[in-house]
Amino acid sequence: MPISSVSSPAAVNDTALAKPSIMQLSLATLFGVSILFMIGFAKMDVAHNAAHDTRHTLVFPCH
Amino acid sequence: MLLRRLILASLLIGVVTGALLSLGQQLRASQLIHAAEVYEVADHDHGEGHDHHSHGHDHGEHDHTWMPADGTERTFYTLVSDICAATGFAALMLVAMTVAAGYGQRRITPARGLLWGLVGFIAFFVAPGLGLPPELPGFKAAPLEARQLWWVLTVSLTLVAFALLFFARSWQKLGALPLLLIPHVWGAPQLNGPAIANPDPQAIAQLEQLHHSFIIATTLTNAGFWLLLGLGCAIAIQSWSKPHGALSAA
Repeated sequence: MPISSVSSPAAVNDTALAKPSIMQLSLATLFGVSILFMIGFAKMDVAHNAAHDTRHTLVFPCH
Repeated sequence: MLLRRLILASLLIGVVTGALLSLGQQLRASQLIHAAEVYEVADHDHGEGHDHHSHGHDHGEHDHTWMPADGTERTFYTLVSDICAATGFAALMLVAMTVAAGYGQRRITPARGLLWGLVGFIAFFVAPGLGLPPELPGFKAAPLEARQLWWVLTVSLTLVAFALLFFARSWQKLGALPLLLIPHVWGAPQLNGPAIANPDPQAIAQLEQLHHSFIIATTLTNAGFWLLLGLGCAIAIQSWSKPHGALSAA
């Protein structure tokens, strides 16, 4: 009989971490990648000008 | 609501580490960027994505788009950009740590968080920086799109290599080596011709000196930032897995 480790609060020990679903992990990844794209890669002049010094410092290709 | 927790934690970590990153950046790296801009020359014939302006001191030649004024406004927008970038990096690191802890049964401790931070530093700064060293204004480079593509490929392959190194079984770890080497054997896009547009020998000497200092400054700033980010993310993950943390309330 399969044992579910997350179905019961009693099964959660002090080292186990609840497993987010693939969908939740994908959305969080998309969130991170989208911000980084805007800050580091977006070609819009406004995005470039605002994030200019950040791009240079974080070794994103600028100019 | 695990997703909300991931997003909120990355925002919190992003604000703290991004603000510290910005502070570290203002100490040296930003000053070097501003100093290099003095030697920038207009480069209208250069069709390699130079649709930007020479940032800062010289408003108005050909730029009609908004840009922050030098001084407080520019520092403010750099702070906001640093916080956004740190939030993005934090989200990715929290996802990776969650997978390692939840699926890979790895314990995430603050000490190991520093190791995660070191991996982030290598993957997002050292690896791309080996082929495309930190750039200063006043320097020309290969076409932007080619460099961006190489950057993304290099960072991605390096991250996969570290994942293999830490999580794959025995001989499969060997797969990390070619992944680490491929981008550098392939080679980053390089510029043909002189890198400095300014023809004045004195300006060239100054820019080379500034560039040397900039590489040191950015290396130190990024190393500090990534170690803090790894530490912050590990503390968040650890707090969730304790009985009285957010996990038990969720």
